[in-house]
Amino acid sequence: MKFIVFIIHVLADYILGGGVLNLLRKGKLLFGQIFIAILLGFFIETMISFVVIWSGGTLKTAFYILLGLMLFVNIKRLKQFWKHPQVVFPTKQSFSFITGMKWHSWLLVLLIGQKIAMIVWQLYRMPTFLSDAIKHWSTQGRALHAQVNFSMAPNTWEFLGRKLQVVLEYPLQLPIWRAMSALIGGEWNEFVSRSDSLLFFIIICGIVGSTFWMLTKKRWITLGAVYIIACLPLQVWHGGAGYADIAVEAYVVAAVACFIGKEWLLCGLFMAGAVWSKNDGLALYLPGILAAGFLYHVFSKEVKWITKIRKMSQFVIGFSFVLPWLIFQGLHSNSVFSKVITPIKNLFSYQQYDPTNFEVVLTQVGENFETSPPSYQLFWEHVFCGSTFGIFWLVVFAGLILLSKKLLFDKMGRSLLLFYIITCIIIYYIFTYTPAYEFLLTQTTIHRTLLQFSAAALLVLGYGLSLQVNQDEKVLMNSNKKRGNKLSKGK
Amino acid sequence: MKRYLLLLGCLFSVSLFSQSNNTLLFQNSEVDNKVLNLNIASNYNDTYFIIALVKDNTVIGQTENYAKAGSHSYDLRVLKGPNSRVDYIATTLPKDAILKKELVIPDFLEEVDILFAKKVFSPRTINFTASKRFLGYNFTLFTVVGVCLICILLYFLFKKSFLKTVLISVLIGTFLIDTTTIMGQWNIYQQTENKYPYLDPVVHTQKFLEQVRPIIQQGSWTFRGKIRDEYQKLFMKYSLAEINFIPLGITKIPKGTYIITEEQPKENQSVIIAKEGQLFFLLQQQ
Repeated sequence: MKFIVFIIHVLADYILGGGVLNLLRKGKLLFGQIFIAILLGFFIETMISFVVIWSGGTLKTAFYILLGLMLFVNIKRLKQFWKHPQVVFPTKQSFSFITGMKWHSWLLVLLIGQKIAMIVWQLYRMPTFLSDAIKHWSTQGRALHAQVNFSMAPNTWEFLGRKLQVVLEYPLQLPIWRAMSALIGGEWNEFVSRSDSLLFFIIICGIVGSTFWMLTKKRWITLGAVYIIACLPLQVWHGGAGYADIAVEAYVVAAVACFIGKEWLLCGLFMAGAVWSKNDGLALYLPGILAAGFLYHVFSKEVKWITKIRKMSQFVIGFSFVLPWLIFQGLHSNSVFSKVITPIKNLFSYQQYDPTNFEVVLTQVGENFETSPPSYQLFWEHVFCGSTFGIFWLVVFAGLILLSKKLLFDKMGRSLLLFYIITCIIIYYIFTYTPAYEFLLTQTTIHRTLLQFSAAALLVLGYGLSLQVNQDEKVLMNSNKKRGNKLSKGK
Repeated sequence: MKRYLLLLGCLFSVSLFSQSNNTLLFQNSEVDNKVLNLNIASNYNDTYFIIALVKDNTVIGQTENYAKAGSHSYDLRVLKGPNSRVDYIATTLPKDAILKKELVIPDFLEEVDILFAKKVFSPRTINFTASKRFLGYNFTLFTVVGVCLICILLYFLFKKSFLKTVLISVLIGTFLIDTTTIMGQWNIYQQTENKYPYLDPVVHTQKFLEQVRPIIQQGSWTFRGKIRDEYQKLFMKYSLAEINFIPLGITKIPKGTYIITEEQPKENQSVIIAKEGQLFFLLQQQ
């Protein structure tokens, strides 16, 4: 029964997101687009619910509005459904990937399956008991579902579950989805309430796989990439923990996949989704995507300015769907901007530093601290040599250095590289110059932040790889042609 | 990090010989390149314990471990160079837990045993994976070297293209690391299934909540006084989030409110649940 509730909710998101996708670009949904559709449905569902709740409605009202919207965006498809069922569901052709798989590909599938089995087991057998889930995400969702200890009135003890001491500046996406799941199932359930994490895990694998397939057309590389991202040690635990980091990861990787696919509206929508998942989306990933988009559009010579502006506007329109939350956050809780900008302001004013206070570790790179190691040393020890990511980041960095020439000479490649570099710089900045340094020192948030970025980083590497693969194939084709010519001349 | 370790070390060195359940393993020993082979009694399986190296009454190195029943190896190679001779090697395991002990230079099988050291699921599992060592080296760097060697082998012996060799080598390297992860997951699976439905660190709270929930279902509840472990408090807040909570800032507790506390009842408070040895009381405001 628990699993059915989860399936119904995911299916509803798929139909909602698929309907909107169909309105945006008419055509059949390919295999990879299923994941994009579900994620889009997830975003639309939670954002509309938030607006309804903010306007004084209840979760039930939001549920009926969403039901209506689901029907509305699918009217055309419903009409066609009886004649051509493939309009709604992916066609046989969409699964052509599976046919012709070799033994080593099946081995990789088996290993990926082991991760999913582990997550499902975790959801079934472990309670919600990991700190951030019980401190905030699930507690807020549970209070929202019960309509006790929760209100949207800013001057009350119940505001956003304040009296349960949740974090007020965190976005409401996950609590709303969990509360909606409980509404569909009729009760709060441990499995269903954290099943969104499993969904995000599958979406990440799906998007990574479909993008690699699109770029390389090689099964073993595609499955290899999915395996690499699925087997990062934290990924499995986050797939069943009920944290928001895996949600950010899913939205950021979807945004990058849409960037590669030049779907600017969707790219903007998914960046909005990342911001709507956790504040990290706004502080860590948005600047990189903006800079990459700017580089891609502004410096492209062949395109007219009006086309460039239209494409950039599409991104802005997509991103603007998170505005209701940003306005709400600006009005009623601490904005994330102040937290990021305060250290920059401090750089320009003289301060007496207390080396034991992590709030002012700003100078740790410039000045010597006897007790706290510099952050670059910690990054090397904990991230590159640590077991949490294995060899993942070493391979990504080395791979991008090796492929940098290819990437720099490609318009999309250099934009993606810029996104990657800017995001790395911001992560380094945050964990060096803000109180987050403490979380690098104690190895907590740093690994979760890097988990958020891991799938997107793999896609950037994948794009570079695809340039190399295509070049190798061209060389091979040319040499075959030459050989063929020589043979025919010889005859 | 050094500061924390120093603090931990100081605290540990004070407590090491003052607690009766700490056990001295070896005196005046050379630990360079050596590992500790312990045969641990089966009733101590999964127990968390520390092995500490003490010199001049100071803890100069320590390793955190989870006990594996039977004869297994535990790495000591945290020290290098002139500090490798220590005054004492001690552990937090009690004397009766250790059936046999020896200090040896490890062979290959012992190295593999250390690589697959026991993992236990805890709140920190969600944040990071403890570092792994193989043949005395960092396992990640060890794997990178392995990947490079496989690369060379594939490129020169099997004449594969450069890109293919790199990708295959990385996949093999990832698989090697993943094998240790899968073993860790298997350990956690077994431990959880053995303990199900109660899990560390919230076992007592889970049991307490089973009793409390039916009683306060229709009422209001709050915390008052001491709750020493913040984690248990968080777990209770989540578990009872759909029941009206009286905020901590309100000084006058409404009549009939259920109170969860670790302290003895005050005036106008009646005891609803209190058991010997249990951490929490459930009181009701009169």
